Amino acid sequence: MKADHKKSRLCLVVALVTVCFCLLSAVVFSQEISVQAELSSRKVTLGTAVQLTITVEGEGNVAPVQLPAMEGFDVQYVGPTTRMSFINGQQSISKSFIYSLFPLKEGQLEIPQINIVVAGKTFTLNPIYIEVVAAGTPGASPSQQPATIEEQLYVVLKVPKSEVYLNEPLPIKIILFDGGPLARNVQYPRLDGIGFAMGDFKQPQQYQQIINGLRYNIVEFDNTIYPTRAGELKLGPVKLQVNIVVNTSSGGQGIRGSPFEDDFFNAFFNRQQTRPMDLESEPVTVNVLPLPEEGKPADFSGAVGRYDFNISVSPAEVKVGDPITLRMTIIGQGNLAAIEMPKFSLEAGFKLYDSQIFEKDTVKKSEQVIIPQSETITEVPALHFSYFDHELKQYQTITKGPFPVQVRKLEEGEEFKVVGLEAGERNVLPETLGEDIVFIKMSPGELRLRGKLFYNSRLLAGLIAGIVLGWIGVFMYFRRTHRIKTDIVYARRLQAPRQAKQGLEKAKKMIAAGKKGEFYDTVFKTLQQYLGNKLHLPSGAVMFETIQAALQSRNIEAKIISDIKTVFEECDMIRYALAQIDEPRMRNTYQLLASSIDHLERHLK
Amino acid sequence: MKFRKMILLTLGLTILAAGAGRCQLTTDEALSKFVAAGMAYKDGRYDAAISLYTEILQGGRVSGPLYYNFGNSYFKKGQLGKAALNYERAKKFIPRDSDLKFNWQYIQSQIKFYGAEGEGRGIAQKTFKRFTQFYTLDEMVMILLGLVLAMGVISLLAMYFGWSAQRTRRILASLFLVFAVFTAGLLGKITFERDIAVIMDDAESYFEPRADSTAHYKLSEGMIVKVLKTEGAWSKVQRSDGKIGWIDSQGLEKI
Repeated sequence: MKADHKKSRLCLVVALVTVCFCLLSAVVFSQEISVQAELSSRKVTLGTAVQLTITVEGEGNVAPVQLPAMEGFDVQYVGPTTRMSFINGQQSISKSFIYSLFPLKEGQLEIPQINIVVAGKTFTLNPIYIEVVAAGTPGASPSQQPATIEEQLYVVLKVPKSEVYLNEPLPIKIILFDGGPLARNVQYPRLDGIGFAMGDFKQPQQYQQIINGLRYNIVEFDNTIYPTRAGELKLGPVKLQVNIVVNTSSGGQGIRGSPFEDDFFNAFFNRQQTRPMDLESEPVTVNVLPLPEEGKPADFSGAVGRYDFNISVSPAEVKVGDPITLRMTIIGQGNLAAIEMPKFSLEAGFKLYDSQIFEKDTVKKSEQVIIPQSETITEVPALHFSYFDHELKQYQTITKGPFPVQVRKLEEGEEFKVVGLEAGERNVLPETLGEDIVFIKMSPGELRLRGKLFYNSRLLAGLIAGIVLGWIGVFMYFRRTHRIKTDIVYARRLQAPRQAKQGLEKAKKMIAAGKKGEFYDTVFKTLQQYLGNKLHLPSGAVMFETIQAALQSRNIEAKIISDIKTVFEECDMIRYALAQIDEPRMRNTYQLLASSIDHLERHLK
Repeated sequence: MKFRKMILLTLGLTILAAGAGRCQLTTDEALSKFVAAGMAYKDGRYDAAISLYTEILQGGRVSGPLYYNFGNSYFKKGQLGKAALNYERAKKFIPRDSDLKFNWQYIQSQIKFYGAEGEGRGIAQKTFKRFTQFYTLDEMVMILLGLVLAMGVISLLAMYFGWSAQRTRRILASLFLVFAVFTAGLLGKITFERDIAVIMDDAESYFEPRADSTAHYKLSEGMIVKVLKTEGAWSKVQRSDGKIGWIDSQGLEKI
């Protein structure tokens, strides 16, 4: 009983697995079947085997492919591989048959056309050519890799057509073919194109493709460009920067196929390094046609492409002065940035506000607030959008509207009121305001000579000079006054010549009056006061003996010191021998005093 | 006696010849033409008014109201570019005149603007521009002169009365700040007005100084642009939204 139960459970599991397999097969069978042939290298040295892989996608139940007779090759069937994948809920299956082809002679060898029958359908693979060169030939790869980097890694600029209209959207593709894979860190391409406007490149697409039997990793950049100038314009070249991976040691000299030639080992033992490489495509010539003049609408503003134009007006029922929102949408393929939104006529009886414009991908929108000024308005007038359809090669105009609106008059009490002002106090009548400039002026103002302005006149220069000089003058005066007040030494030195001058004048008068005693008193006092002021000594303390050393230390000439001594001696002597003094002697003393003071004034600092 | 008469005669003739060489109008002559031009304007004879105002200008006489009336006459003739140019010139003399402000704003509303007008200009820049446009050059210079005089007098008074250094420094620093602002304004005004021009007719600005070059953007009559450079018959101009391109120099006139 127990064994029967186990048996029935096993049958159930087998049935479930069978159902699942059938369902899976059904999904797999629903895939499109494709057949591809891939060659590990198209240029090899004689004596090196090349691998041919025939892959059937979408069908797992396939018998090994019988290859036709191949002249110049020794063919060995290596075996099949089956691959199943389940990605994002989608299942796929592929079966590959691997053959080792060993070239027997040099030259261009052909793998002939191969016919494969899968699920009752015959698939044909085109002939593939391999170049077999003698070992040691320059440029020839001893391994099974493609021959040159240029063959493995290149960039192509694809333009769908070579003749376009001005401002017509032109989708372009920039395709990087990488047969290595060699490229790492692929940068965004740079496209030279004077006379073209272009936006940013979109996120690139990456996929694989087999070309002439070789598998390439493809990186595809899409963009749309717009010619802005008519004539024959050169587009490109495209410049693309990538990093390529190169081997630093063994450099292809090792035995291909050994486990140590593997990328994993190269990377692990740091035998690979990346270096930047600039790829450049061939340029493309585009003939840009000017837009035809015939049939050009008056409101055409330069839009080229295919567009749809829509307007919505809301609300449709308002009072005078209430806002109505006018929403315009232009959808289409073209240079939206260059499109001007249709303009609303100023004469339509609406007050217009600036429109807000939004733009994203293939949609350009605008929102504009319009305010009806009168209850007589019954509709928002129609708006037209004109563009040039580059496919139909003619201008198109889309008209939307008019849009009926109901504008109600403001009822009493609905208008704006000033708080505190009772209704009916003032009878304010509506007025129609015109617009114009203010009338001319009847007085010419100050009619100046041209170019005669205050800022470049001599008067200004004079005033500036006057202010500066005046300030310096007053500043110096203040400074001097202040010093005189605060610096006694300076004040006495400043006072010394003035007092000496007064003393000399007085002495001169004494000579004329013949007053000998008073003359010598004045002379003595003048000299004593002068030297006291100059040397900052108390006047009473000034005797020749006290000042001699001070004068000598200040490098006063010996003759002047001697003259001063003479004057002092004369003044002393007069007290004892007044009768012996005559006028010439007095004049001599006066001269000595005057010349000494003059000298000291110039040299005593 | 004869010699003195000859000298006086020669001197008189020289002054007369110098005056004739300059073709300058006297104030009375200019005034009579101004009145006649005003009457022609009143009668709607705008061509006659423009002709008379031109004679006054050619006679070497200028004033704010003269440029204002000149601008009005051109506006009535439908020449927005010339009207804008003369209003801009009038602003140099009577920047705060309300009539001028109104008319200038009115014709600005008549001018077609392409691109975002004034885009990228910050509040500080706008305020600075308004400040420089509030005064004439002469007024700014006089204010600066007054400030210099005030600083000089205050420094001397401080010295005379023995004010504290802190107090003096505070007053002088305040005055110097105002002085610096006006100096910057004056320099800005001179630089700004030197390079400003008005577009005389609707035109296109190109990427290169060649007629067969690619058109970059549009310029409309009366639009104000900044002239960055002149090369032969072409001028490199900047529109108010910052776009730069080349235009035939005949299509614009400097203020």
